[in-house]
Amino acid sequence: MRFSVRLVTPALVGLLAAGAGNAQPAADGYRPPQTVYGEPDLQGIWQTMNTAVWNIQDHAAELGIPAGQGVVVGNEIPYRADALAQREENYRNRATDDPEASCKMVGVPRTMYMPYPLQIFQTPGQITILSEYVHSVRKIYLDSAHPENPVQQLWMGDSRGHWEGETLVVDTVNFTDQTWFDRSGNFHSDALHVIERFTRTSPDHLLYEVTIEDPETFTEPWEMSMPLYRRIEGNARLLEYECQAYLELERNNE
Amino acid sequence: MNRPFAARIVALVVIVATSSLLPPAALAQAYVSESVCPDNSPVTFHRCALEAAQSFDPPRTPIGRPDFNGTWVLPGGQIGGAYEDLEAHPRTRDNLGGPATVVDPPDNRVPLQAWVEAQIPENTQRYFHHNAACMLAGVPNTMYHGGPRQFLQTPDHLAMLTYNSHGYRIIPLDDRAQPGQKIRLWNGASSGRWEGDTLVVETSNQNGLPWLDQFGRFYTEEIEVVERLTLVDANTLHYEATIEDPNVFTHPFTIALPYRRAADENYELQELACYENNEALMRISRMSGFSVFPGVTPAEARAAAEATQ
Repeated sequence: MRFSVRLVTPALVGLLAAGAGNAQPAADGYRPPQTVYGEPDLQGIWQTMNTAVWNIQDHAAELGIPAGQGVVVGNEIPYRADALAQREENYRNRATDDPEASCKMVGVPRTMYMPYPLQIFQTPGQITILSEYVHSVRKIYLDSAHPENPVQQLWMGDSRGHWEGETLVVDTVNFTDQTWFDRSGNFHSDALHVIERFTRTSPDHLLYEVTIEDPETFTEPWEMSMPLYRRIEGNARLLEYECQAYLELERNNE
Repeated sequence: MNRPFAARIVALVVIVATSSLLPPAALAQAYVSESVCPDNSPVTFHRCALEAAQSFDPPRTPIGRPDFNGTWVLPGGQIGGAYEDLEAHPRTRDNLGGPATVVDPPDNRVPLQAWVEAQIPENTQRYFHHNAACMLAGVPNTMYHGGPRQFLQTPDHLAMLTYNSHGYRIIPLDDRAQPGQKIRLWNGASSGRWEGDTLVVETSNQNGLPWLDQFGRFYTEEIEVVERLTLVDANTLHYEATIEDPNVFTHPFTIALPYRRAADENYELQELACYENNEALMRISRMSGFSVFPGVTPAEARAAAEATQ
């Protein structure tokens, strides 16, 4: 049964630690304040500042697309041969096949580096990440197990978290195979297993590290690493990007 | 089949179709029914709650505010009651029926202007209910549409997650500025403040595209809503909202509802991928002649009001 209880394996933790990667903590030994409920405080409105939404790997500029240094640690993604062919097919058909193009939820980890703000809430037993993009919601339940027999696959996956010191570690499974990693066709199967680490490195920086495991698509696990930046504007708040509603209103005119 | 009936069927089918992917528990979540105000009829509950809240010292968060954290259930379930019709309405072949949710004015009716009364039947004949198109439900409708909801409370924010359309509202409790008038949002922009143990939430900046109920009552983007949330016992939250839009209503009116705490304290809100699963139904509905409600602008509303005088 694929969707049984899974914990972060020591091997994967080691991999993450070894490849701490592109985004180094801003200050050694920074200790974040605590929430009123007694956890390291990751709350606030956050957003990435990179080009991963277009392509998580290194890419040259094109019309309307800025050049970007990738967020994949080591830049290469270890696709299986058949999966690499599919990724190239996805790239050719990206204008129509990218789930973002039809306004669908973009899943995990993609929701974390969309060009829209996220807001993190911490309440007893739960961490919740709300995204401005199509009002998608991630509910991360702390110190609990993935359901043994989930009734449906989830666009945003089933997330369970725990604290390792000041770092929030989140294990997510039970995905659909409908989401991609970016607009360039990097993809996964429904065997996707995502392990994320959230670490405050300064008052206004949140280091986001993620390990991707999907034996049906990749020959071995691989990682991404990037900082999230706090939206420090005094009037910052999540607004709405109701992509599917704009599409439906457009269809009124057809 | 007449068109209004078809419109409601579409709304119902979408809910049932998307909900059928889930265990029945997601639809009718058991709640704690023991309460100092056990009657779920909004008018009776409201009267009791106003009284009971005065002597209740609620459970508090670490900073001493009343603690609204948890999963809350609207008695009456997924599709009946206020969601169908804010006024008292009988059970029919396309309605589950329910008592009035309007507690003021005393006749328990929504005080619509005459031209609006005439517009409403057209709405249900021509347009999808916003929920059928998987859109956010607006304020106040998001507070009484389907399924359980979870409140997340921190010292400076209250977030409300709904099962339906995986919607959310974020209410800053600090003195953050409202967005500018040009920024129009399905769920509006809210700001909250404590008046004693009552949370008062003011909401503006709505886009006027959702309806108040499945009956087709609507409003314009100039709607202002003031909500009041108060714990009346450990497992019961009194919800009250005063709605003002001089383009549509003859005067402000107030609705009230009981929220009951979910019996399962470890309840996990399910993901309802409404839009992602809705393509075929939207295509069929459009082929049947329905489109998305485009809203009535304040200028259109004022012109319509003038024309009927």
